[in-house]
Amino acid sequence: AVYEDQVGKFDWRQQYVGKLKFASLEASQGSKKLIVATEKNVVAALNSRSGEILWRHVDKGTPEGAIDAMLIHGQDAITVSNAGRILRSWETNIGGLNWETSLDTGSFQVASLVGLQDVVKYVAVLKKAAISLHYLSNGHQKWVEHLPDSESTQYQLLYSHGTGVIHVLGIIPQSHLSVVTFSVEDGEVTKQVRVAAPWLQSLSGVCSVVGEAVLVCVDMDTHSLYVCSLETEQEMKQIPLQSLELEFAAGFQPRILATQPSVISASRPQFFLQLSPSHFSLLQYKQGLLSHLRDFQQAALVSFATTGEKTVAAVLTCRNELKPGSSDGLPPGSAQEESQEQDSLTCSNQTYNINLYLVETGQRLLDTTITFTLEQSGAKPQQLYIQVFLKKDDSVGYRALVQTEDHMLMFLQQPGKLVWSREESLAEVVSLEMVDLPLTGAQAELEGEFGKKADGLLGMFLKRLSSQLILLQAWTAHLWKMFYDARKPRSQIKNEINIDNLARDEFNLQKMMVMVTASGKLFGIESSSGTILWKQYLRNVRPGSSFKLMVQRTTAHFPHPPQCTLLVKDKETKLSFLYVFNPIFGKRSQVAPPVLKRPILQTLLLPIMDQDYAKVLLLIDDEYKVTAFPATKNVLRQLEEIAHTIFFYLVDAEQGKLSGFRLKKDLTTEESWEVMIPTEVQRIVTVKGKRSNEHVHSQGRVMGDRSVLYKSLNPNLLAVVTESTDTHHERTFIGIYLMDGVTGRIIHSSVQKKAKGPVHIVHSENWVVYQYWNTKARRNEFTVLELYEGTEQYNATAFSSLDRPNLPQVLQQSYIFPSAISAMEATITERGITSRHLLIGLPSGAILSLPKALLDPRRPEIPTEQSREENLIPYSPDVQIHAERFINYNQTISRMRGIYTAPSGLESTCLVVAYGLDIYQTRVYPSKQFDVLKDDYDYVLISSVLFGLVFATMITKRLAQVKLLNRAWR
Amino acid sequence: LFIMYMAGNTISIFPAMMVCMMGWRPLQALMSLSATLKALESSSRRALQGLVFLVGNGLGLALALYKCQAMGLLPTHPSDWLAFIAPPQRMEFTGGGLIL
Repeated sequence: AVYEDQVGKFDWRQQYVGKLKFASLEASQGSKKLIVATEKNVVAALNSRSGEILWRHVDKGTPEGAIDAMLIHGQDAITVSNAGRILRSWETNIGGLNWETSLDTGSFQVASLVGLQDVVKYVAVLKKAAISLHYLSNGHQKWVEHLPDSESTQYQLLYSHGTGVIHVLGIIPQSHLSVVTFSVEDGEVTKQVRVAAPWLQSLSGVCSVVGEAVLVCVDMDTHSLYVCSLETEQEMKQIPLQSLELEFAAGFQPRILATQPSVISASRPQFFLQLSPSHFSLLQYKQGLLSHLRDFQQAALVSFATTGEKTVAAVLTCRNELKPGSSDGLPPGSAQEESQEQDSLTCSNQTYNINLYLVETGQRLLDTTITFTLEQSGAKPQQLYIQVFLKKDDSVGYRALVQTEDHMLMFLQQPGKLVWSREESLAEVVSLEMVDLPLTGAQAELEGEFGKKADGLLGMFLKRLSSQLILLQAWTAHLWKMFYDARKPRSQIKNEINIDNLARDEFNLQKMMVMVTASGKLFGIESSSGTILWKQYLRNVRPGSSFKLMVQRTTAHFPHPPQCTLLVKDKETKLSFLYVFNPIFGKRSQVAPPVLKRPILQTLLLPIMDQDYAKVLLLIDDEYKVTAFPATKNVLRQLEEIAHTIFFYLVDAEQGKLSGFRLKKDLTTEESWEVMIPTEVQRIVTVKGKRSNEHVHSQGRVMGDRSVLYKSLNPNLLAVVTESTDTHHERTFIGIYLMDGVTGRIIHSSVQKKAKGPVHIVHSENWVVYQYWNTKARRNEFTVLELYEGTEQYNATAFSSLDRPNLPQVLQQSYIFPSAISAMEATITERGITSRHLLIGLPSGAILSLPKALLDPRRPEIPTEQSREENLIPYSPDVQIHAERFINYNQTISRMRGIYTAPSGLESTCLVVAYGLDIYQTRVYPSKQFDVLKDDYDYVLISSVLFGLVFATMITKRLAQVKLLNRAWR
Repeated sequence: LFIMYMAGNTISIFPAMMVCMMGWRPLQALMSLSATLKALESSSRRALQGLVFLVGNGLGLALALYKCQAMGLLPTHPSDWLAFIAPPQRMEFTGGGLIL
């Protein structure tokens, strides 16, 4: 818990919505919001002036919450979610739910608003076998009708334009089209037409309705357009494209993009035909005539927008020539060839233009160019939304929302001014590390003095003098700045943090957070304020890749820059590459990483360093050969010396196999152990080792009789969690195996019957805490395991897994927890003196800080004299959630996926980052702030008392002297 | 001695002060051993008297130490040295995990 005046002092939260799926911008100049529905199952309204979230609704993260369609009508947003099961209407001003109805099952196809006589009153939902009509005002169902021949026909399109009928278009592939017309009033089938179309495979993308219910389809094989009026005709008319002098690009499925500004009137007769990934053509079909209005070469995206009577087409083009994608100096390696095979196009200098064209004529509107430059190389725009409005002088003005490949949202204004941008890829952080900030220039100068070789007494002395002078200069500059700032009003002083003035603070509380997101974008975020200081997009990372981020060199080794290494492995091709960068500035490192020819299975970061103080990274590939990085002679020699102490363990969850490998001198490995866990019965879900940077201060625990119970601190210990494949609530179980990663010896195994995952586990020091669902008692339970060596230590000076004759004693206790949890992590501090807390992320978005002392298997059932002496709390089965233990008060974190903890320079303080849809950063003090004076420490009182005492002593001394003198005179 | 017994074995400021005094006085007496011996110079059985003085003060010191022990002030248990045990050195390095 925090005090009221501490809110926002050490902590910050950033909220995200995720990658856009649907967006809607109001067509008026004064509108303040834009409504978005995203792939993260979020419906939200963004402030169009600042990009802040006005309101946000987060649905389930599973496919159950997926949003299939979003329609906007006036102040209401209609969403269809859960595969067409749920229809909701939102009030867009405040984000309230107007109504919600559940629909019948059946795979969702399309939803559309339906108007009748100039009023939009209904929403139609087309499913595989039925169409239903609902009132917009309350969601009640007006009628539902089954579609004829729904087994063979795939109904995919829905069209109405205020004439009192709804056309439903279905297709039997390579046979014919079926057009069913329903009456809006009662759902009666008024007409049913079959149109032969043996060339047609699917309707979506290929066909669209233009003008007054005219269906236009494009066929790649015959290079022609097919046109058919839904209301009058019964046959498709073929128009060869050669007559318009248009050509398709080879191997590209052409698409048709049409627009219908309002559902109560007809669609525009103009439409876009996409001929190749970068070639669009604006066509018009009017009164049975197809005409070509304008051709757009080198266009990346097109979009329609309407305001009042005017409909415009926005075209996003590259300023320079588009050229086939090249991996602009991004990680070389095998992934590069892959990316060049894709016919992706990048803009050479990342500068794009948006232009507006009047659709009726294809004329370019004057003064409507927006020019913008993307800062990230290789990220191309993916979606374009336009907000058009009429200015006072009746000319057209607009704003554009552009989403790029790296999930960045940009809101642009004429003439190319960036109103705001949002980094939505941060909604899916996959890996995170905290790196110390570098020292300031003056500090670095001092450090550098010690680092260099001595060059004579005088030289050293002069150098020292000069560095002291620099320090003095910096100090006076600081004083002057303070004096200068003090005269200015407080509001004007902004402590802006940018990449140039980054420096470590006294207690190392400020760090650089390096975040890896699922889209392949890397971020460097300053931890005290949450400012994004750098970002880097890795272009050839495909979705679903796995990442592993490692810090090879910290900032402690000035003048060598810090170095982070990211291993990216593609899920499909199994190919991996290394990306080496400087975590402070985000720049790609000069060091060339090894080219990885084989898929990498796992990595190991060794504590040994090369002559440049970079830790050695070992990569084991699928032939069980090891690659070292950096691979200098020095490193290889060191490796040869210590090869017999290096072991790998690999866990193959699919085959249920755990195996250990020993490194040999020639960097090959040999298998030393193997454990099979039969996959028919149970499957491995998690393997947790210990954190390598963890310090344990106390080697044992003091008992009531003042003897010591020594902890069993095996650094090679693994906790393996398995879940049963049988999920019946009577037979389901989870298994916990504690194994030694060097020898494969199973130190402890237990099976928890009638227990079900998902299992969250924390493994630290000599304890393991895991949480599961008890199916018998229907509650969440914690179990804690602690390992002790006993009252004698076997070998106090060195720990070797190969020489451990005695198994440790395992103590175990279970507790009831009143809530499910979504993430769990233990606090960590610099030296491990501070007591540990468990940080538990609850589904409600709160983070509970639970003292580890509450989960202690030595808690006695009946308290005795000795247990009281030890300060053990008597056992009680339930662990309660106290709201004052929430570290994030009301700053809840939606859909929390992980918690990251890092030590700070203060022993009492641990830095915490929780991530999910939102990112939250704070500090925790598990044993209170024992090494820091409190905020409300009364400096004035203490110093005044001190001065007063000194003063009083001086006065009394004087008085005493006078008195002595007087007495001597007497 | 009786006061010592009455003071009990709990650690609080008065018993601690008393134990300190009790230990300090024999020590002080032993320090000034030569001065005492000088005073005894006239005596004929000087050696014996000196020995008795020594033994008496030694007993007093032993009593104070016993009292300290009873109060748990002497670091005689392994737990008293726990904070000084260095963590054992790691002999093997291991790494890996689920196959990426």
